[in-house]
Amino acid sequence: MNYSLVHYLRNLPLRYYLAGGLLSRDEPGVLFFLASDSAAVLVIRRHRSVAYEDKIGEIADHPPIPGVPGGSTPIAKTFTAKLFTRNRLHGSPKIVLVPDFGIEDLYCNIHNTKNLRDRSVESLLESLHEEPRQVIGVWDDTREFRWSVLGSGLQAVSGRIDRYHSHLMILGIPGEYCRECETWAETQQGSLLGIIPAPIACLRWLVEKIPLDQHTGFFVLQLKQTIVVAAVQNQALTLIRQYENDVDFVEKELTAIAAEFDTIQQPYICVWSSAGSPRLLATRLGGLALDEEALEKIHDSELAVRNTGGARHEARDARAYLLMWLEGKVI
Amino acid sequence: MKHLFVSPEKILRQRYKHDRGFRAAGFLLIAMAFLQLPLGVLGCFLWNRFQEQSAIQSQNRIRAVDLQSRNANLHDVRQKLGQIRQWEPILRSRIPSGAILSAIQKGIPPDVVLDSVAIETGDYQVVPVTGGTYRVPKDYMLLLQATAKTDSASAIDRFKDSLAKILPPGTELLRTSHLDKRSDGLIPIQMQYSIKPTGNYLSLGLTKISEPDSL
Repeated sequence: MNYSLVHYLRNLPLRYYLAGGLLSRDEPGVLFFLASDSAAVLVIRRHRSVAYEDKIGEIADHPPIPGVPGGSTPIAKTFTAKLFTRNRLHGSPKIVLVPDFGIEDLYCNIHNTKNLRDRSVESLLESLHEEPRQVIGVWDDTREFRWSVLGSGLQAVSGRIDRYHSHLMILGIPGEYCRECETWAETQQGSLLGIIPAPIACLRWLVEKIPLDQHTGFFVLQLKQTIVVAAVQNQALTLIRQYENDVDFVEKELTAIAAEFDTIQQPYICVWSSAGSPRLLATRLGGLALDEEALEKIHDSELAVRNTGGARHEARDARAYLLMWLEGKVI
Repeated sequence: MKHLFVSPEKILRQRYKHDRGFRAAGFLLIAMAFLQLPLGVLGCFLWNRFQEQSAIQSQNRIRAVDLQSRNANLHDVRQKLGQIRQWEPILRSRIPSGAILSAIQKGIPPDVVLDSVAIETGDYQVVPVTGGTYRVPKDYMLLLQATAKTDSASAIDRFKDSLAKILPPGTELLRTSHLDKRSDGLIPIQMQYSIKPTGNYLSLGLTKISEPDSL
């Protein structure tokens, strides 16, 4: 990143500094899970949950939700300003967006580094930016995408590829959606700290929180538009697939993938669902449902938030647990 | 995962907001800007003062030009006044001869006969004026010759006392001499006074009309 004094002086956030941001140390964090029909927001302050609100897609000036056309109705008060007023907060929000994309809007795949022509992450990103077909091979989407490369543990990577990494995950989401999010964050007078696709955030969370050791495992994520299956070996992702919401097909595919791994032990299957209970799918797949009880154990405690009356209550929602974990990683 | 899919430009701007180094730089910049405030106020004050002084200087220049133009018109008057002023020592050195003679006449005692009166001038001063040079006397001599009708010296003394009272201050009796005895037996006496033109002639009965113009 190229810093320069001229750029700093030209973009000096004077209004933010004078509004108290210069000395502010605990600005609230606002984390959104953005799926059509089931968007939610978790408000955090000083690493403690303050509020969790569901169905925010019905509120005016909500953040861009994939698959939902944005409205342009004039508003007197921004979404986060109203959110802060309801929860007696103030300051410039730190925003994290976790969009639940459809298959056509999210490219995520794990590549063996031996098959990549580029020798560094930077040149790989440059090739993807210039022409995705140079890296991916089959790519017929005409839209501009923003690309990112993560390690097999879903950690940020840079530098030479072949030295440290056997597998890399390549991620891509539409550039237009990213720009919409950036513009929206600016209108909220906030700082956009990341646009993290829901499967990626969720897989990183599960990989970190559910130790499988040497055992092979499958994480099955039931999202609003897709079902994502990820294979984990030695706490690293070795395979990721996205499917339409067709449980029968996923069941067959999972069986086929498990056979490919040729393991002695039956692989663990963990099922997480962003909306509704994962028990039904877990039963179908013969896996463990990461339901409220399981998530509570993963989180080590109950997730208490304040309701509109001011009293604290437990937020027993899979998305709330995910966003709470994500806050510790991003904000 | 931080800053995933956020453009580098946005990331930079966010770091300007949140990174400690940039905040410290911003704090320094704002603090320095506030330190400049008194300097700015002083600058404004000095600028206003400079503006006021410039206005006053401009007015003074206009007045000077105006006065110079009016002064040019008074040049002829000043020249004429200069010429008049040249006459000042001449006028100042005059004495009111008529008033002196009148006073002498009034001061003659009944038993004294004034035979002759003469006023002579001396100690001349050359005063140049436009058109020529004047010789102005600085000393006047009053010569009186009187005879007492009776052979009494006290009559002449009373005449002297009377003259001492009426003649202008500074007048000095230089000499009193007895002349030859006449055929009628009376002895004329001659008195010589020195009169200085002091300008004070109140004793002669002259009063100042007003203060003299200072030319």
